[in-house]
Amino acid sequence: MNEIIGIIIAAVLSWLNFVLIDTWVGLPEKPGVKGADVIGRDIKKRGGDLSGGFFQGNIVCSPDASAGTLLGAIACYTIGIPEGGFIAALLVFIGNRLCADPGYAGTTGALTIMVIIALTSFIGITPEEFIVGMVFAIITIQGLSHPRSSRLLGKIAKRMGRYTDIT
Amino acid sequence: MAILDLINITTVSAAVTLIGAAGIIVLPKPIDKVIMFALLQGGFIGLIAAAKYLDVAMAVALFDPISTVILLIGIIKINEIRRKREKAQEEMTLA
Amino acid sequence: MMLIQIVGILVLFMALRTLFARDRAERMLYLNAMSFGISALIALYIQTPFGAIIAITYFIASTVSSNAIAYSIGRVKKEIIVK
Repeated sequence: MNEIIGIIIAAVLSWLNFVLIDTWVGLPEKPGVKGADVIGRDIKKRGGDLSGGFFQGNIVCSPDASAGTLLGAIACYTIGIPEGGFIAALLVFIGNRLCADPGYAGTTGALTIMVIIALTSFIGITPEEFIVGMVFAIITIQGLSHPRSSRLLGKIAKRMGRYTDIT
Repeated sequence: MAILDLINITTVSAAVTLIGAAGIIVLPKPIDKVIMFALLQGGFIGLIAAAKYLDVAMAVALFDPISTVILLIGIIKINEIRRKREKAQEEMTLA
Repeated sequence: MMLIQIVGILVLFMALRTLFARDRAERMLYLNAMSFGISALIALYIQTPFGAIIAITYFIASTVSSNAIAYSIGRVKKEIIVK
């Protein structure tokens, strides 16, 4: 398969993977640690959405499904497809407990991206394209325009019933 | 294009290190300097990994955030001491 | 274009944006995006399992230090700069 098309498909799949798993676990609802609170309120001050701001703050301050997706793709590339996913899930679990985060978003993200990589390997998308695709996905969320992406994340959170009650 | 051939992991990491160093020199407030220091650490680990010193890269990846945390503890402490001294000076000038 | 070159351009873009950002929390977000890129670069260059372990260790350590920096941004409300 052509590399550019593979990277685009992998970027869309990993974006959906980590945004949906993070929203479902409850990241936009409340800030997990105090640093996420600071970043969320600053994004709201610059014209964004508070729920999306908490989401982005939680991505920065704690390993969540975005970390699980990237590290799962890296492990699947270097170690091999079923073993890499499990090793990445274990290491992300240790990292979560190091940051005093009691959730399971990272391990879920790593395991689901392992399944997705295994399924798309039949179409011809390699794990390297998933690594580059995940970097693209995180740059669209955190690297372009913070207020705009926080509004999009807030809309997704509202649609899935995970909007925050804090003001 | 010729300039795209220059982009490999060594040059990208060196550029990130230099951007981090420029940020530390130029930005005035201490916490901004610490953020640029974290940027410099990223570029530094990229350089060490590019030279294939993998065990050194592992040690640096584990110990650099410890130095960041120590710097931040120092900044918080100094700020509190300076604020207490300012408040004590204000009370002295009022009294 | 090779994959390392694509990720390299993105990492440089993020690093420049952290230098020229206006706000402190904005810098944290760009820094985190750059750490994703550096992890990806290390894994794509050293294609062995130990390279993956180093990339994972670097990424989790950079998340811990970003957490510490964000906490102290909230703790130090107004910094006193000595001239």
